[in-house]
Amino acid sequence: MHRYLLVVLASVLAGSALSLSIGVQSVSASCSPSRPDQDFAGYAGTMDSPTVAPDGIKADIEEYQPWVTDGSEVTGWVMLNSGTSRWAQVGWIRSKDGGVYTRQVFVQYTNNAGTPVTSFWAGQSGTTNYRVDWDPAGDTFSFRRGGTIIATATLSWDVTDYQVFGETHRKSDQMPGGTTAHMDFTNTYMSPVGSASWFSLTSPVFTNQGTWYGALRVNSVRYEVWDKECSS
Amino acid sequence: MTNMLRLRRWAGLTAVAGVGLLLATVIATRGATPGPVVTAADAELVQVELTAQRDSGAIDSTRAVAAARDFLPVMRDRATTVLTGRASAYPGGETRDVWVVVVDGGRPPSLGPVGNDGSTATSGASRLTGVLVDQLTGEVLRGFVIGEAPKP
Repeated sequence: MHRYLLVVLASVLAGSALSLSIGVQSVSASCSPSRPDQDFAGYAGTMDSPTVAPDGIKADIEEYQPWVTDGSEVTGWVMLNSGTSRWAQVGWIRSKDGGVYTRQVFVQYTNNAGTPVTSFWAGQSGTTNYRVDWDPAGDTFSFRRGGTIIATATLSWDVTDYQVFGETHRKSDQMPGGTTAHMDFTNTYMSPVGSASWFSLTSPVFTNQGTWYGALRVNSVRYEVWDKECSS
Repeated sequence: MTNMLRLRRWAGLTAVAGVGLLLATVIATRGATPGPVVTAADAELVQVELTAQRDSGAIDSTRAVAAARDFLPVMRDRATTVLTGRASAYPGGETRDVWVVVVDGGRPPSLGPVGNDGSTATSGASRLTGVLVDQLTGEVLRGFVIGEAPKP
């Protein structure tokens, strides 16, 4: 009898653990937003052109699992840039080709000739600190994942802006996050040139598609984004 | 007897067709679109030293190509060039003998900042896509995409 009760108790505990596990996973589940499959670069996050140019940007980015259109990709990243033609960014990328999803960490920058160069490493789950640093004296950029430098580049252009965004490439892609499970950018900090300190961000949220994407500035170290057509 | 003749004729025609098909296959394979050329400048961009050594490890080039296509599925169904080199996964990391598996083109690297929607010269088509595979372990060190240079 006691053995029977123990088996029942163990089953209940196992079931609870499974439910909890499923609940945790569903936080970053995929959802098709049911929009037309057309090219579109969608953004939700924050950006700024500070009076004193930034030489560093960093954030803890949730490794969300958005729904992706076949042949497309969805990303979450931090960036130092100069206008729209020069940039240096690091973050995660989730792609789909032939129905198969792949997840990677990526670095992309434009070299001195303006050619985009992209690198990929195996992806991960959880939340990851991504960071880009610029050394104006040496014209060097370094890209970090979880505190480790994963790439460096010597680039002659000067930084003027920072950006922190979730990005889609098709209208039918899901912006990371859902109405009940936003994707979080936390510990969002920038460093101005000439200062050894990091400062929390003062920039407002931005999205280029407010009908489809949500963006929220909780405070200076926490921004959230989501797709309004998805609950998670 | 008539049936036997028909059978022989059918067998002969089948043999001729088979040889023809084999020859066509060989010619088509030899004439297939060649893989891309990797220049010294390309190698420098993606921080890999191209070398002349061949197959120094346990992983042959066929398995390296399969690993590369698993890592970057956009490389599937494209003609590959397989080179050898030395590279590390990260700056300052252990340098290893690698297979350098590359294809022409790939996914346009339109990641860029707000305002760069992928249609501008600086974020146009990809020119070269590749993956570095450890010759000893088969581990993928990293992948890369080199975009088209911006048009003047």
